Amino acid sequence: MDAATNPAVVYNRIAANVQRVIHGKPDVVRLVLTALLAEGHVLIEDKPGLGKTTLAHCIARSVHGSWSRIQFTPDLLPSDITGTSMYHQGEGEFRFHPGPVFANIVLADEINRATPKTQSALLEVMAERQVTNDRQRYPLERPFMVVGTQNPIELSGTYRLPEAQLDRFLMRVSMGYPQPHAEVQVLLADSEQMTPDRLQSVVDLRDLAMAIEGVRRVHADSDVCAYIVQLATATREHADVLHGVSPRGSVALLRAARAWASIENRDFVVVDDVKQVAHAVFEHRLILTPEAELARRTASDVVRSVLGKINPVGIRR
Amino acid sequence: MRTRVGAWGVVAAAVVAGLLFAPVFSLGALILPLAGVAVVAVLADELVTRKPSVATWRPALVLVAGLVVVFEVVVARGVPGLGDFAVFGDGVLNGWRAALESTWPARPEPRLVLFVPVLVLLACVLGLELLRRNGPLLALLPSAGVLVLAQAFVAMKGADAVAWALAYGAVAGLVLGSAVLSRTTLRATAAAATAVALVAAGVLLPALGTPMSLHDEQKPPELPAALVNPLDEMGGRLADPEQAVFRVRSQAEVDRWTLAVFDRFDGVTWYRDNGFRALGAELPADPAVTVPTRLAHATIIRDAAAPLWLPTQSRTAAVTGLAPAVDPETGVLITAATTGTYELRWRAPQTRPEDYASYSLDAQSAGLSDVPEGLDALAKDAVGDAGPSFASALVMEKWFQDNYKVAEGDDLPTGRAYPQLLHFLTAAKRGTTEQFASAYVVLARLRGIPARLAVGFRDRGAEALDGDGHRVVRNKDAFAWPEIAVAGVGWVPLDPSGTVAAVKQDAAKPKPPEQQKIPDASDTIKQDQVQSTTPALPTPPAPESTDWWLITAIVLAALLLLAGLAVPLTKVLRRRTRRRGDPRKAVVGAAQEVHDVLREHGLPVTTGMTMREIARETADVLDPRVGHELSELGGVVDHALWSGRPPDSRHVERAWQVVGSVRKGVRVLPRKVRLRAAVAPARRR
Repeated sequence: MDAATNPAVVYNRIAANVQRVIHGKPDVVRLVLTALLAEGHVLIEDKPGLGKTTLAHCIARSVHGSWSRIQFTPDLLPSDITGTSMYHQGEGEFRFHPGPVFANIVLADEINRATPKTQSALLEVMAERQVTNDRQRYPLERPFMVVGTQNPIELSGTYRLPEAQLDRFLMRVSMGYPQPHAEVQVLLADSEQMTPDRLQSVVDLRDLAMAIEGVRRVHADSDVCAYIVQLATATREHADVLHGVSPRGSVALLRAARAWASIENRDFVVVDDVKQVAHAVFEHRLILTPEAELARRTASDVVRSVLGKINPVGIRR
Repeated sequence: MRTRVGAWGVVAAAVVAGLLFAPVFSLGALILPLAGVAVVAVLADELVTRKPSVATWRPALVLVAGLVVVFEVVVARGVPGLGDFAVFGDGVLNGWRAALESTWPARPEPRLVLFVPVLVLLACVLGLELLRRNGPLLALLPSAGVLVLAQAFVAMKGADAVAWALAYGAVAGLVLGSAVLSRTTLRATAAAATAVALVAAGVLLPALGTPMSLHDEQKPPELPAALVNPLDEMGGRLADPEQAVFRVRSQAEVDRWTLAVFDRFDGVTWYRDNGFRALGAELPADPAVTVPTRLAHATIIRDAAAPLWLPTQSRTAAVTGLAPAVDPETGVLITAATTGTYELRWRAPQTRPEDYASYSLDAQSAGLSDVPEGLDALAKDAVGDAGPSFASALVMEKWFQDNYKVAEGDDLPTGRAYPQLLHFLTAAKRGTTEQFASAYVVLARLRGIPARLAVGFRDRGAEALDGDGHRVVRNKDAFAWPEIAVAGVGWVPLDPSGTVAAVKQDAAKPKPPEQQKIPDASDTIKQDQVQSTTPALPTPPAPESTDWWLITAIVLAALLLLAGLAVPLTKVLRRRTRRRGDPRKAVVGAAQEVHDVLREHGLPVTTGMTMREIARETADVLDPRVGHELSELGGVVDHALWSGRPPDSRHVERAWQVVGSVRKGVRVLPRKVRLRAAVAPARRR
């Protein structure tokens, strides 16, 4: 494998570039880039002002490909996202005008402000990486990644993402408040007007595609797969969980673990890789029981307890 | 493997508990059914272990297979018939009660024995389920329940109790030692030690006193409605004297056959409280009889319309051919069958007749009430001022023989109430053997001589032989006699009416031991003289009360020592087992060993942690070098398990080097923590 297309090298280049703007959040950056290498979509969820959009913007700028930003609002229509067919009088025919999803990296900002109908327009895009219009299918350019952001505390004028939509995000990550020293760096960077727009792309599309292909070749032992299945099964059987992780969630976990292993420059997945990404991959796929929610138990608690219970070296298939 | 050993232990514990019913049925009767149950339980559990898909059906599988084997081994023993199913159902439901109603050891009949293997089977089923679901301590509960029930039936005593306690303690230790306890803490160890100690104490403590037994609490069965007091039948028998009642074939010389014995007299009639039980395989020898005895036997053929009271001897040992009920104190037998042949075995004392005179009397005696005036004076006339002794009993017997005659002919006196006895003794001086015996017992008791009344038939010996060589006993042989209690010998029959003596004189035969008892009255000696010349009789061994404390202490100490050594030994075995096998398994074993060592030392290590997580969690407690080694072990485990490339011996060597480092690393922990880890039971994986 060419050094430039090595997933670990690709990761290091992008991470270093992003962290010129995003300070004190290496774990979050690593998770989002893991999703990028796994060719999955990421939902960044946190309070306003923590840098969700900036992070997404930085990643988009770091890859030498097309990117677009969609600001989700209640009056946004599906065709505003996917594109529409317009009649060209001179040529006497309808021609498809691609929407903003036709980009390598799509930043869906405040995704929960759009109506469910518009949110659903992203379902096909995210799952099948194509747009269907007038019975015509228009495949999206690869690699393709949707980075959604949403604010969890504002309920007025928002529409909660449907479970099917959530399930299509490989990961959900939270930014969290920065440490004081990191926040100082944020202030200094702002003074220096270090914005995402000033970032140069550090990885071209070909290298990124090759790195994604390299991630797919990472060996995952059947015992690791069995471990993942046991984790997913444990969430389904957990007393606090109404609906546990789907098989799509198990697949997502393995893909994310492969990417994590490749970032570690390892050609096989170990249980530690799985554990590193398990929270980000599983939590948004769990629906807790009303009793658990009333008791203020969270999906994170469930995943933590499941990870603590299953013996990784005692897997019996 | 540990799960398998634990399952074997649970089954073995149930079987050992079931074998504690040995005093009820004898060990031989239980071994085969319980072995069958054990084999089935182990095989069924093994099948489920190999085929986890049928794990849900394990209880049903073990239960059904076990019941089939128990049915075949205990009841059917071949091709089953319809009646076998009835016996099976009856045995399962009522066997325990029938066993309690029987003398012990009970007959090894399917109906009686059945409940023990079924109980053991249920204990196996429950124990195996609890082992898988709740761990080893609870898994031992069902077998402990069987053990407690067995002890409620009959508490073990003496060396048997020690042996069985050790046996149960050993299998319980096997279960506890081979299995995982939920927490490797002192609490778990204490629970295990307490369980073993309780089991040992539960078996041993009854040996320190007189234990309660359900056998003693069980009410006797209802007597047959057709059972008639043989005393009431005597008049009718003498009206048809030549009617044969039963025939006897025996080499033993006996002068009489006992039908019934009565020790209570209300002034009108003789009776005895119902103390009957189903006769088991054999009646144990009466410990009060210390003179040598010999086992004699006779075949008795009962003709049509024979009495429900079976002819017997006073020290009945066993009956085959019939399943009668027995009064264990008197040896009297009854049955609901009116015909049938049976073989009777009894313990005949081997004593010299001349020794009887020097034996003291047994203190047991039932009192008399409302004795009419005059009888006391007659009693005094009979024996003078002599105190209660065998010699004075003989004087009284001779007094009757000299002063009274047995009534014969058609005009026989009747009745045995005080007025009739008074009339017989003071006026008529002629009476039936029943009146002789009744009067003798009353007068003897008035003089303090322990006496009771027996009724049966005399045996005329060779005089009554028929063409087949059987001695025929007829209605005319019916008679009653008194018996007196002699210390070390038991109840000795007398013959105040001279009925038996007359027969023997006619036959000119040597007298049997029970009857050669009549020293001359002039040899009468007073009570004080008798006591002063009483020879040293064989006496039962004194209870070893003090030794039991010592034995109990030794056994408990041995169990504690065993428990103390069992933990480190189990851990050594665990370590060796984990290191054996293919390299991949050995590396996994190293990771598990590290897990267990750290958890036993109270470090916050959970089941789901990887080596790197453990290294992070223990970084504040252990030496940084140990943390580094743990991370390295994480790499070895990663390579061995998930890289897709097989590990080799170098990986194994490195992994177990880390185990050694971790074991050294935990030495920095406080002594209290290390001590607790040393006694924490080994965990199972």
